Amino acid sequence: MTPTNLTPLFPNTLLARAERLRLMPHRRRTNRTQGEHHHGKGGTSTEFSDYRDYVAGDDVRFIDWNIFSRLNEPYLKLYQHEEEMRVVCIVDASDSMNFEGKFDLAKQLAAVFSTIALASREKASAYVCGPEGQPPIAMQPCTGRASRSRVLKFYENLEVGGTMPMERAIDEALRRHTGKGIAVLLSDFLTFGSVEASLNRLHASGLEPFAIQVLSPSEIDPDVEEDVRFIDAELQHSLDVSAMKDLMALYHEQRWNLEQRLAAACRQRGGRFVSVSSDEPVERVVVERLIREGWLR
Amino acid sequence: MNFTAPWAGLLALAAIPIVVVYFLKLRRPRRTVPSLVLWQKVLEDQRVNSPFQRFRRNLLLWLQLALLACVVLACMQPFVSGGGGSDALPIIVDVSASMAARQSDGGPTRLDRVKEELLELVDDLPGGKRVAIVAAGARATQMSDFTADRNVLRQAVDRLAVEPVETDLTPALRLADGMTQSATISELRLYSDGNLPTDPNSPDGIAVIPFDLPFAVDFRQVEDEEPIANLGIIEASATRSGESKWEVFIRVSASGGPGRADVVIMQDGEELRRDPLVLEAGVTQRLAFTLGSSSASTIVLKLEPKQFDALDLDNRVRLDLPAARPLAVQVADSLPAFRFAADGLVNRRFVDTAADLLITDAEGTAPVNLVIGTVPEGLAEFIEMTAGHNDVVDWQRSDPLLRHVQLSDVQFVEHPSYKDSASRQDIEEAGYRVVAETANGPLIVRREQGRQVDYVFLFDPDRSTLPFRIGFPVMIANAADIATSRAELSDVRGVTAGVLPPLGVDRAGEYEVVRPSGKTQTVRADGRRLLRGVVVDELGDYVIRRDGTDVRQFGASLLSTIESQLAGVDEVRFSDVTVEANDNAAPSSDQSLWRLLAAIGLAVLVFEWWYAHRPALPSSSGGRRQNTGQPLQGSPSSLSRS
Repeated sequence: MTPTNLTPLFPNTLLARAERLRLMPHRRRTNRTQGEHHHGKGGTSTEFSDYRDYVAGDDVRFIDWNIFSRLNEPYLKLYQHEEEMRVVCIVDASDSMNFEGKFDLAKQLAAVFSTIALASREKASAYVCGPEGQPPIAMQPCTGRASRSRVLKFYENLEVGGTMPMERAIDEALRRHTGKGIAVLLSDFLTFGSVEASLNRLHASGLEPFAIQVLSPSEIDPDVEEDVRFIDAELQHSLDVSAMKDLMALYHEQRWNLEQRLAAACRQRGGRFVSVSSDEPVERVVVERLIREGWLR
Repeated sequence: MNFTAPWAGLLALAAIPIVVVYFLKLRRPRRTVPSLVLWQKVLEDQRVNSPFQRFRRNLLLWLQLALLACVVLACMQPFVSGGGGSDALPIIVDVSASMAARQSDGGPTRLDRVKEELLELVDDLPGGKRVAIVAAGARATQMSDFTADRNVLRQAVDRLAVEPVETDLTPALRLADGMTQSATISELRLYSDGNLPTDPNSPDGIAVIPFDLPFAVDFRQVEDEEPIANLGIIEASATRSGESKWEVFIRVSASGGPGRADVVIMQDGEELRRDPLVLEAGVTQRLAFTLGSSSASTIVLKLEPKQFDALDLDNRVRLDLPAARPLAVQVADSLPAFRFAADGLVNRRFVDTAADLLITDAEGTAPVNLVIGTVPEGLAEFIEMTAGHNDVVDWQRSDPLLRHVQLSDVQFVEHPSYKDSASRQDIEEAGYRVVAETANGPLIVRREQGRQVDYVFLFDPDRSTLPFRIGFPVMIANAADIATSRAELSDVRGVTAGVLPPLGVDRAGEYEVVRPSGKTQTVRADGRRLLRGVVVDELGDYVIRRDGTDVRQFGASLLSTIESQLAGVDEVRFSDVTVEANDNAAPSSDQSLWRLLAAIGLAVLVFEWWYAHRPALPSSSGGRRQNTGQPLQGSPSSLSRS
């Protein structure tokens, strides 16, 4: 008998595994409020971190009396600092994502990240940007496993459609977001504008960009041989292209340049970047890409 | 470059619908993509990297227009002028025996190669150009009048055939000269292998044709890739030796290379002997054989080559040996001195009719006639008899009648003299040649009419000291030798192609001449029982029949030194100009270009088909960069597609 999945987004096995994972940001971007995120030494958690010499004014409760009895010198025990980290998922829901399961994979990955955040007692929130001129669909910050069903329901009910470019989506999310932490960007990043400026603002807001580019197989390796008129799904612009075979090398070079540019932009801002294909199962993306590349542990 | 049908250029208007249809047809399939961002950048890169992309995008259109251009140009029938300013071009084709030479066994003859080139010329004949074809053998034959009709010209070319004769271009040139009355001719084209009569005084062997050219001559020599070996009989004769023997002589020539053959002698169909013969190139050898025959017989001498022989026509000779008989001599009773001298001739018999030698004081009807003391009607207006003493001042010592005859001390009591302003030239214009003369006029004149030769003594020998001179019987013996030779009683020579001299027959009337090919010719013997106008244009055995009965047989042979020695000359000297063979690569005719254009159009069509249906190349990897071909190590997408 096949067990019923808790969410149609992904199987229970992935859900269970996600609850055991932890986010691995490059830098401490935490908030004062206490959470379960091990931030550094000097914390109040039960997990030992280090010793240091006692100085006047230190809380005597943290003196290791066993060492004092042997060495007759007071040493202070340091514990891991556990702080709360904000995990905000900014999901591109424009029409360009409505191809070959791009938006589905984006939703699944956003749900995975939110689940991990909830399980780590971080505050998870989400902004889904679709129609131009309308505020993004927001999932208010929530924390704790009790919020899991609400978060999953939020992602299950998302609809795709709109023309809002990703850089505008980031700006709209930042306008409404507070707190430091990680910003998971889920988009194809196929925008005529510049994402770098939005990433700067993201960085300035204390959010470490975790950018995941979701491309469809037909975008990774277009299978077009004849002269064709391309229609932009978002803007409905047309573009006549001939001699497709001769242009494929240029196309791949442009796509590779875009990936390199996005990766560099994220890296320079302390973040990460990965490009995935929408035909890849979300489990494989999580296990073989995110865990292997150190995004998760 | 000119165009035969420039109006066909209107077909270029077809380019308009082609362009229209091309762009109408160019309805691209629409394909919705998530974003045009990458494609936009690709096109920007493409414009920078490939400025000819616009051209490549419409390559099919350009190919179609190129194909149309080829078709239009081909329809306009362009051609490159091959020379020849006027519209009329007479072409003289040498059809002499040497044009039957081949370069290899079973290969085309020289004439075949000329005909092939002529057919190409006819096929490429531009509009408005008229051509006449003349065959030049021993005589000229107009194969076609000036015409632009390709069918007529092709038939004329097909009718060209080798004639077993030596080349004589003069009649053909005269014929072409006559054509200038009906057409403007600026140039004449001559196809020949150069086997033409040469100037014996020219060390470099230039052909000489005494003809004033009214037009330029384009001499196209038919050359062989390398000298071709030929062994041929160039002379053949037989001389009676005694009552029942004949000495047969032939001369064999080797040209172009060493020759090796068997010489076969057949008499009346039976092989008498066979001798091997080996000759170096350029060497001629005289061969002699002795045959016994007192009756009429036929001798056939053949060369059976043991290696490649370029020309077959000169390998066979036929000699018809007459039966032995005494010379028939008839002497008028009024000439006792002559009868007395003839009485001393050896192997002769006096007859009253059908004489081989007639000595008379009236008109002569025999093959050889000595007409004594009579002034022919044709000379009566120039000559009169003058009484008085006179001496011979000159005589033709080389004339057969006067060989070994001394006339310097012969005295004349009465002698012929020129009338008034008459002169030797008038005698010659009347058809006579002076062989002996005094200071005042001719003594003996000679006239040849076909097979008949007349020696006319314009004086009365009885009124001179001639009968008393030692030279008189010698002269009669010379006349007998001439008659013997004419009657072929002592010498027989091979018959060559052409029109035979009059043949003596028994009766007047119609005769049928059967040629070697089986064709027949009807000829008539006149009252003098001479058969005239027998045309010999084939080599082989001929039969003359009357009422179904064979009257006479003879065989025709080539027997030509010029034709057997196949090395021609490449320079011809006419009366006022010397023409060299045109060996340059200039087109032999107006070169039509429509075939070339059609070929280019076909190539364009094939390329267009291939371009439109070329197989799809393997899809290039998404992780490969242009130019470098290096895989994008670490590319996120490449990792994603593991």
